Amino acid sequence: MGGNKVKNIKINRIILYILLGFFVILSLLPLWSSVVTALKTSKEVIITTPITFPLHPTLTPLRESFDYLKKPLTNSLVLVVSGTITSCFFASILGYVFSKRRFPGSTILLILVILCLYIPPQVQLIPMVKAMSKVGLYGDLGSLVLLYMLFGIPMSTFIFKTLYDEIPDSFINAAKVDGAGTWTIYQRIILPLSVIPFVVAAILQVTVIWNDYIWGLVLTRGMANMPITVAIANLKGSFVAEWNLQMAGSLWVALPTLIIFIFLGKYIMRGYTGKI
Amino acid sequence: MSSLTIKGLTIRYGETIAVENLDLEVKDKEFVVLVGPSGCGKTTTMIGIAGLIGIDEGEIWFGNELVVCPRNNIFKIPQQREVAMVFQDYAIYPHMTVFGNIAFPLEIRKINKREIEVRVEKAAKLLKIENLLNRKPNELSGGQRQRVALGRAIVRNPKIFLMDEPLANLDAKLRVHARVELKKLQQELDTTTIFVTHDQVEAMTMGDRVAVMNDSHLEQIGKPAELYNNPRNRFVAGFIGSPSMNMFEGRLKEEKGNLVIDLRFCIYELPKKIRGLMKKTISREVTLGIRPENIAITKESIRNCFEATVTYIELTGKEYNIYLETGGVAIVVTRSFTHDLKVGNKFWLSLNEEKINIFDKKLGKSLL
Repeated sequence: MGGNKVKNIKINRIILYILLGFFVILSLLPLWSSVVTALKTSKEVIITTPITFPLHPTLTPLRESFDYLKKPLTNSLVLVVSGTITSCFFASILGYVFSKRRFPGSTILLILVILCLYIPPQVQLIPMVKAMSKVGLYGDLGSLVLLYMLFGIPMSTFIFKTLYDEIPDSFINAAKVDGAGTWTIYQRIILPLSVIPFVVAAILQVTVIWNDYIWGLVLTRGMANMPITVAIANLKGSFVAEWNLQMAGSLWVALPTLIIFIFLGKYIMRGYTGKI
Repeated sequence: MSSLTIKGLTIRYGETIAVENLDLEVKDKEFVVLVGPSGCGKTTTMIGIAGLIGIDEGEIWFGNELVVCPRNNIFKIPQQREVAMVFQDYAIYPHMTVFGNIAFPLEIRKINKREIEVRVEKAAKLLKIENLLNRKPNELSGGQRQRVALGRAIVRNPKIFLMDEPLANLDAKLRVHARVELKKLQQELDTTTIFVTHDQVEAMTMGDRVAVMNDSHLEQIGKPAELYNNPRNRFVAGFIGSPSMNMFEGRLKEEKGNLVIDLRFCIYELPKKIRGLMKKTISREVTLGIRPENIAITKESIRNCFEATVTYIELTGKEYNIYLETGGVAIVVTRSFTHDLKVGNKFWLSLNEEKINIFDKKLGKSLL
């Protein structure tokens, strides 16, 4: 009987691994396809299937697409850096207040902040375009800089608040009794214990801003102001689809987020589970 | 250093009353223990003293200084109340070294670096943690952390120490040791101390005076011996002492000119001395209380005694807890020897007349 059980477990395992293997291949297929296609010449793209290995590998598409995407890449970097730093800074203070400095009505305010996460961008498109024209930023990269600084705050606040909830209240009370004011407690106790919330919030912001498409499409005009996601869409060509160029460009776009997920993925899990 | 006076303190959490009309007077340099079951309001009282929560009614004075009085809109925030507090979880900041933790309150007060070093080292020496000053808290044992928390409290020379179950997280052996050390430390520093615990042994051994709290109010405050020998009510009698005081319910009766208590399993004749002490009581329903060490076990019947069967014998180390039973009533007796006893056998029990407590059954108040 015992032997049967062991056998059953073994069979279950084998089935499980086969299924898992299948799904892994399925989900890695697009990545594989874009890697091999990016290494092919235009001619070879036409005569081979998109999953076969290139017969004469070439780096030309990667180089060409990089040259083309240089400016948008810098734009996206500017957006990511400014948006992430600013929203994390404010969110950390807000998270501290919502978690450790409750006041009458603070719960309602927190709910309002979190509700901002649930307003779809489609609803905000027209008002935002109008608002940006009013302040004279429409079409400019500045509009996106401002937008991401603000839009990152609700999600990051939520992350900071949940992770700050894990810091024992006795730390705050002890500091109070020892004579520390609100700001001193933030600087001396909370901030030094915030490495993980900062990493978690930053990773989420970086990926969200880097991958965002709709706002860049709507708010910016011209290559000089475009973020990379919008620029890559322009790579598709007007008459002929240059698949190798597109795939090479996509690889450049996907690379940073891919690296983040591979090396810092565990922090993203922490962000969702609220464990410091 | 300062005395502490609490008058009519009431603290509510929404609808629930956490502390009700509490009066407490703590003399300068005194070590007072607040003890009671969980949820009795002892910790709430303490954080009220610290200023970590507002109070609803009453006044708290540090010496001549009124620190909180809602009636006159006086509320000093914790930062202004020169108290130091030791928390149950020690609240040691994990990102600072031991030195950093102890120096923290001084750094906030912008005291110059050299003086901070001198004072931290002095405190560390007193607590015997000089060699740990460069360590991080996660490299410390429970006992060492507790010392660091104490260090952070004493380095400031506060007016009042507040300690919220600082020994609760230590293992049993260390706790007994830390108890003695802490008491010595307090005597050395001569700082007024309020100590909260749910452990009555800690309370009895450490407190100059012990305040027993129950159900949001103060039951009795007094020297440990006073609480032990003359509990003011049934709650204090039952809470202080281990094993607990034996409580027998009965009825006061007059019999042949003698005052007796009908305990159902025995008619207990009250000694003359107690009769004289007894206050007039409306209710005849009473509870007779007697501590386990004040019951004698004999083989022969003597006057005013009753018979009971031994059900279980337990060795606690230096003495035995002997469990007996008579007429459905359980009795505990402590004794240092048991060679003359046997489980299942019947013996005669007599109560030490000097040590009897009598409580009103309904109100729980002592009638002596």
